[in-house]
Amino acid sequence: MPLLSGKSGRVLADGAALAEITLWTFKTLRRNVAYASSATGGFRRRLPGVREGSGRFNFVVAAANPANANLQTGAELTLSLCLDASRCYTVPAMIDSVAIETDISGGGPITGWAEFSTTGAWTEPE
Amino acid sequence: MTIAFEELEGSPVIAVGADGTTARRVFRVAWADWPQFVRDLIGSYRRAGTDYYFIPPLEFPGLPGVVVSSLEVSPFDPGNPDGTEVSTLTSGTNSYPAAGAKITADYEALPADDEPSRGELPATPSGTYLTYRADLGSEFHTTSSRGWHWDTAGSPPLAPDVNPGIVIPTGVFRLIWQRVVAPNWTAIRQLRGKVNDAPFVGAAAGTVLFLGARVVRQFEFGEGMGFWRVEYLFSERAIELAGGGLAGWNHAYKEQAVNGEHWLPLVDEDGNGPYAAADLTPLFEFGTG
Repeated sequence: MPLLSGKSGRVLADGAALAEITLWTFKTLRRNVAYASSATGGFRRRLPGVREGSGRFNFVVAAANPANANLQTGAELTLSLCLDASRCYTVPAMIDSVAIETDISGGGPITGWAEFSTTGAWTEPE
Repeated sequence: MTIAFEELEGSPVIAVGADGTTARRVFRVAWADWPQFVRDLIGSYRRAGTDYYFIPPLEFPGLPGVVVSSLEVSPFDPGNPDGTEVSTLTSGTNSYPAAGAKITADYEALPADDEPSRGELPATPSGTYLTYRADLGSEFHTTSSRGWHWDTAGSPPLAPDVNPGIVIPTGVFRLIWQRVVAPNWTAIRQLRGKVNDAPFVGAAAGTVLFLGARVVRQFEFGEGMGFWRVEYLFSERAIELAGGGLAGWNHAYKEQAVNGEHWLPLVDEDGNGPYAAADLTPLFEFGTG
């Protein structure tokens, strides 16, 4: 069974590709309601709750048009989190945080990451 | 129709205090079912012509006479609304089909039909509840000086500027009639200001004056639902007569005693007393209007 490689993954913000993305994650969850009652026989039962999602993407800060230049905390944008060239999650999102990391002792590239939360319904790739 | 429900964790809570038993139960039902579930808990009347058919409120299990006194409906999972019916302010509200409704029912003890709060209360239709509350009252009656003298030998009548007063103990009592489907407006109107023509709540004829009623709606909920809370106010005036018996509202103090009795009935030229006497029991029958 062929495995999917992440090497063609990318992230677009409002349709524009962000540069030097190295990793992205997207986690969906339901805030389910747990309860016990006269009908649950001594066990807790759960009911499906409201849906939401969150994630992050890492990037290397490019000298020209760095990804973080297009990311403002609190901004609402539509993220396309792509598995490959054609299959993407389309996620209305709000940027919760943006971080930059400069490795002075190791001299590695300056990296960063942004964390986001969904704001509304998203679509998943077919 | 029986509605599926479950009683949630932490329910019930029961409190027993000086004012009686109270309790709380918390249920979960499907969102679409909460109106009917509430109706079942409250109880209702169905009217067919001039007859009423009583559907009793659901009692707290094991505690007869402890019935629902108030209800609160809220989303079981308030974080998961469905707003498809909300297009204008009046088109609809959020619904919560995923987790349903949480219904908090508060119960309180009301006297059962066969166990009234005190004896001698008027009979009431099944499903209604009558409670009795009494309070103090008094009347101050000023008499003329002419009829009095100091209790010493040869004492003349009192000086004209001395007017002995008599305090007449009276009582005010309320009969609070709850879950009334149709107050008897006609009886309330016709009997206001009249005295009892027969013993009433243990008081002799002529000693209880019907002052009026305070009527408020209760459990109003949807079409054809709701009861009335009727609070009747009475004043009792019973003065023991020297020769036995009781003077009521149609007696007055006479300066000169007749056969040793100062409290005598008053009548006008037609032989009528100040207060007409009537049967007060229709106050506790449903009206037809």
